[in-house]
Amino acid sequence: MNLQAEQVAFGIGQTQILQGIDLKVQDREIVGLIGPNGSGKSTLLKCIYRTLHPNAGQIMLNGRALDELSFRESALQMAVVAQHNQYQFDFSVMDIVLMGRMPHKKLLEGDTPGDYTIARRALAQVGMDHMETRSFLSLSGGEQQRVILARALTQESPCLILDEPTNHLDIKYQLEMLEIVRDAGVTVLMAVHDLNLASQFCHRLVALEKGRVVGTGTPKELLTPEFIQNLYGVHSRIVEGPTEDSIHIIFTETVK
Amino acid sequence: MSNRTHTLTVVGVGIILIALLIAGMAWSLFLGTVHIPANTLWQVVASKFVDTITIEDPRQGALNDIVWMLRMPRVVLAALVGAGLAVSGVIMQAIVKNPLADPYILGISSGASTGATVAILMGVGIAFGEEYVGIMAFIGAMVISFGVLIIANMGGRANAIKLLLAGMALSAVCSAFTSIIVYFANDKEGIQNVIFWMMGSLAGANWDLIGIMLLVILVPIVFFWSQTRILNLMLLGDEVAITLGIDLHRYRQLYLVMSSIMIGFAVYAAGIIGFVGLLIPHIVRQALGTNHKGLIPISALGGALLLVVADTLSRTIIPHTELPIGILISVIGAPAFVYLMIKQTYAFGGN
Repeated sequence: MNLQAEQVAFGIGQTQILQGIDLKVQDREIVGLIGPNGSGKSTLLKCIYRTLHPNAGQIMLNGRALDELSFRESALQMAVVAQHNQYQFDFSVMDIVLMGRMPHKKLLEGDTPGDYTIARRALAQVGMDHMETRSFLSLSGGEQQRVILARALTQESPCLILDEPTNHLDIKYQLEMLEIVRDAGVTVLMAVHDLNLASQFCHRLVALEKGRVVGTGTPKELLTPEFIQNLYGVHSRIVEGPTEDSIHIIFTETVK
Repeated sequence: MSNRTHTLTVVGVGIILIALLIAGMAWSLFLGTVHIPANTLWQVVASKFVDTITIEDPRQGALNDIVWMLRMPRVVLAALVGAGLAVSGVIMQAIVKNPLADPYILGISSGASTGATVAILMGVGIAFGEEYVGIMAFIGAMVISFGVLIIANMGGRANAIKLLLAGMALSAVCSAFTSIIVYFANDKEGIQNVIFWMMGSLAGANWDLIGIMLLVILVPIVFFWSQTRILNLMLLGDEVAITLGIDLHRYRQLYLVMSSIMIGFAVYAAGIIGFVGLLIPHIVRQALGTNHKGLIPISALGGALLLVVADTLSRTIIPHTELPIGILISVIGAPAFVYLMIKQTYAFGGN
């Protein structure tokens, strides 16, 4: 399963948010999208998961243009953990997770025991299996985020798109969430704020600035102090990271 | 509570409500200006179905008429309208993704009122025959529904906010139009008729009407029940739905049209009866959660029960006078709604 964006552009009125993005994610590769606030990470992801339509360029899943696929076909190919999951109405955790089976269902088909098994397994994976019948709105932000990941896993798609998946999570669950994503053995494209987590879990990073790709490479290649200074406007030092051949970034101060 | 116990709870509540509904309907048949003893009532009802039971009362013709031509159609109509209002409340809340929506939120009641007002005060639509006020109200309701749909689709796809705003705008226009007609009317009796009509009444029930209502209320309810998945998804919004493979747009249009037809006919049959479509879905959501699998059937039964009871009270609470059912339901409904609001466990969907 590979994912490709070719010259994707998106703008609202006069404001160009994305200006010709090229991007390729290979089968089972984990690619992190980095860049400062407002660089277009979320917008690019939204174009990929189809809630926005690019003004130009195209996005391909396994070599087929997204526009040729029905929403159902693309939902079978990629699952999404979006940034905002604020719901007005109260569902149980199980109700929410079972919705991940939607693309696999005919319209009038009910939930089978098999669907429950898949949903329970996903809940267990994110450590929420004891919460099945809890009301979704009564959960903390971090718990909600994990339930949404469980829904995405329940979709059983070969590609995961995540927008800031570690927001609201405490450190244990940040690591756990990314471990689950890594161990899922699927193609992953995710926007990440935390450069250290990004370099620990991503095979490759793509840096965005003002709607353009300004750099790509393995974390070690890409994240030099000079590059970080140009992209984010902060000084930093790079030290050896927690795993073999990885890096850790220590941010020292903003560029004055 | 596991999902299996949830299903059992829904079934259990459903059975209790069906029992209450049957009891309520029997109670309603029993009460009225003419006193009918319980065993006579039973004979009158049963004689329709079982040949061997015959009525030995000399007044059987009159009793038969009271039960079968007056009370029975009225009770059945109350149940159907109640079920229709409650379910379209549920549907409207899903369509506009707002727990505070009710069946009339998109201006249907204003459209119906305008239709009824021009019929009563200006005699428009007399050509439709005896039922012309109801028919004009139905036309008014439909014109507004489709108007809202068309306006909300201008300049890009309709979404919840555009639907609500279009509904408010058209509603305001209709209210203004109705007020002008009433303001310049010199017809005191006509104005009273308009007011009475706007407060709702089930007095017009007859078996022909029941035939139509069975079709236009029960078919949509069963249809909406089959749409549980999509309706659940609507509550989570367009973005989530797209990532799960569903484009809600055309479903929203379809549901809106079906729900409008249901409400249009309810208005035609019984005028405007508020609060049912707001109160019942809320009580059910609070008790059983917001999954439409349980919400739709239980709301339908709850709405039916509420209207049967309210209608019985409205025609018996003051001897020889009928209290408009709209007034009665608001009097019961508003305090019940406030009670829901101040109860800590339920946050009206907000948190």
